[in-house]
Amino acid sequence: MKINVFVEGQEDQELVAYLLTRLGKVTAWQEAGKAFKGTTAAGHEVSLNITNGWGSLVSGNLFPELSQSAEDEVMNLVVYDADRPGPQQGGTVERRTQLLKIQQDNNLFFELFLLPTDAQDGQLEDLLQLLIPEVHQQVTDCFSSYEACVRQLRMPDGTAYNTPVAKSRIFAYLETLPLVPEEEKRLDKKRNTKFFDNPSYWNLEAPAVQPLRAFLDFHIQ
Amino acid sequence: MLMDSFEVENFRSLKHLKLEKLARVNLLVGKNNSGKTSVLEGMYALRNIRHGEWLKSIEKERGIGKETGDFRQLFYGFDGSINVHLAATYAPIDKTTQGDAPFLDAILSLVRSPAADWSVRRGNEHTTKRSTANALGIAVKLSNSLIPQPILFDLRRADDSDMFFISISPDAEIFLNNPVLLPRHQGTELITTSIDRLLLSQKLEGLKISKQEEPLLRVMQQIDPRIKRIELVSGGQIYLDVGFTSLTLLNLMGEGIQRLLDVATAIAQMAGGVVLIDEIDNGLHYSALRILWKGILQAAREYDVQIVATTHSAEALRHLTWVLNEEENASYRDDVAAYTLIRAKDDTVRSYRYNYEQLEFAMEHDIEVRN
Repeated sequence: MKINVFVEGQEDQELVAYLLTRLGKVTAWQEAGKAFKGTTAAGHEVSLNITNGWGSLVSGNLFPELSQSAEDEVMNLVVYDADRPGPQQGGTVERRTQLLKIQQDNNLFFELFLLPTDAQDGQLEDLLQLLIPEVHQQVTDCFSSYEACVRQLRMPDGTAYNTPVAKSRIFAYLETLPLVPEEEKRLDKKRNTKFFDNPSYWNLEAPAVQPLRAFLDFHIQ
Repeated sequence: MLMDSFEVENFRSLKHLKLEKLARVNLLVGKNNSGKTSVLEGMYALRNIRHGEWLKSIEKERGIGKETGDFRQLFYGFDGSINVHLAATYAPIDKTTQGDAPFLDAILSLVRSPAADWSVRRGNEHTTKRSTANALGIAVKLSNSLIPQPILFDLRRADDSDMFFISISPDAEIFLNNPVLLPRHQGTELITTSIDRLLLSQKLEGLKISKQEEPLLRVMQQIDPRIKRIELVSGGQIYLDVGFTSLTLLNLMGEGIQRLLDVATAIAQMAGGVVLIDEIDNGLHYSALRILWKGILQAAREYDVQIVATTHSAEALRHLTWVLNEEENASYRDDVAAYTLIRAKDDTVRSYRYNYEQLEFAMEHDIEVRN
């Protein structure tokens, strides 16, 4: 069986890879260009593929892969952001409806999980926010104060400044952490690395990540 | 006229496979034993079905001699009690044109030879052969859109291990004599990675005699503008004039140029037809692959030829995509389709088609196409 997991970006890929390792599904990952490849104890090949998001499904770019099914010894898992209701038709209900319609209309085969929890609007960063250990929450409180401060400011012509978003909050959090030399090296090699394997940075037992863990645990045997 | 789809059932290792929306240049990608070569053989058989030599040709490519040749090898699971079904549909250039054949369909069954003597037609010669008791033959039931009723003839391995057609229906003779029943675009060649220089020389000579060499030279010049002429000398040696004081022996040129000349010559010779290339990248350095693809794209269009090639390596696909990514080759993007072949649980082979955008996306994100 070949298991393809399609995610949006590098951070999603690293999180899923680490969760699969933690779940005991895949012990070692190999980087194959932008993809991660591993093998389960049962001998199933797992490929974690970055796709830049739901647009790749809408455009049809992933149709050849997602047309493959269990009959072909292939299983596809899609882990995308739910996003929020708005101009881009985000939101856990709207996005799910949209993607499942594409699935039905084009005879595609995949199981879908929408971040952060498969039941809430939002994205990966909303999930990560909830995985920051209690001991470091004070850092994100500082960031909240900063956001609140920016929000009340105006440019000379009265225009409001952009308020930093969830992505910036996560970046800022990691930047405050005193990385060990080995982590510095990893960061040099790969920008945006989030060090999910360091339990002092992330609590991967937190309730918020349980739905994603359960999804991966259920489908990857 | 390009093949639009090809379907095969119970042929060689293929229980069932269908390729749809075939393009001008098609690349079949799959792991070993996914049935890629059988697809080419099936296409070759169907397009040459009325020429008895097709079986010998594919046996030769497989290294099967007349001692080991057995009609049952054509049937899935060596089961002679089932029928082979080969079918192709065509995309007419002009849908309003009368006389185009939108489909060609053949059913092959294993039969025992008739007890009576039989009349044999081979080329323009008619002879009578004595029946070989219980010899195995293949009954071919063939239909295309230009024949009102399906016709039946058979293909038999005679005492001399040669292949013949035997007319067993009055319509068969009409079919064999009437060149319009199959369109003029019926030429098909199956080529492999090894270059037979003597054969290549003969093909080039044929192109020179029929004055069809110019487009071939243009294809070669796109890859190496120094090439001014292709010269043949007695003994089958091929030389290229690349502007030096003396001609350069083909063997001394890069492997990409040698292979391209071989493939482009086959394409030139099959103008209006189909060229099938097995393991296109076999033995080629990756740097030669781009040269080859660029030349194939140009030659296929120049000579109105449809290409179906196979590979088991992701590199061939990657280099094809790189060539198409170049802006100067953007016009070829719609000429290309890639198919990943996957042997399913029920032993049928499924094909999944990639257009240029899908291929480019998969390559850019390192998504494995050859599952």
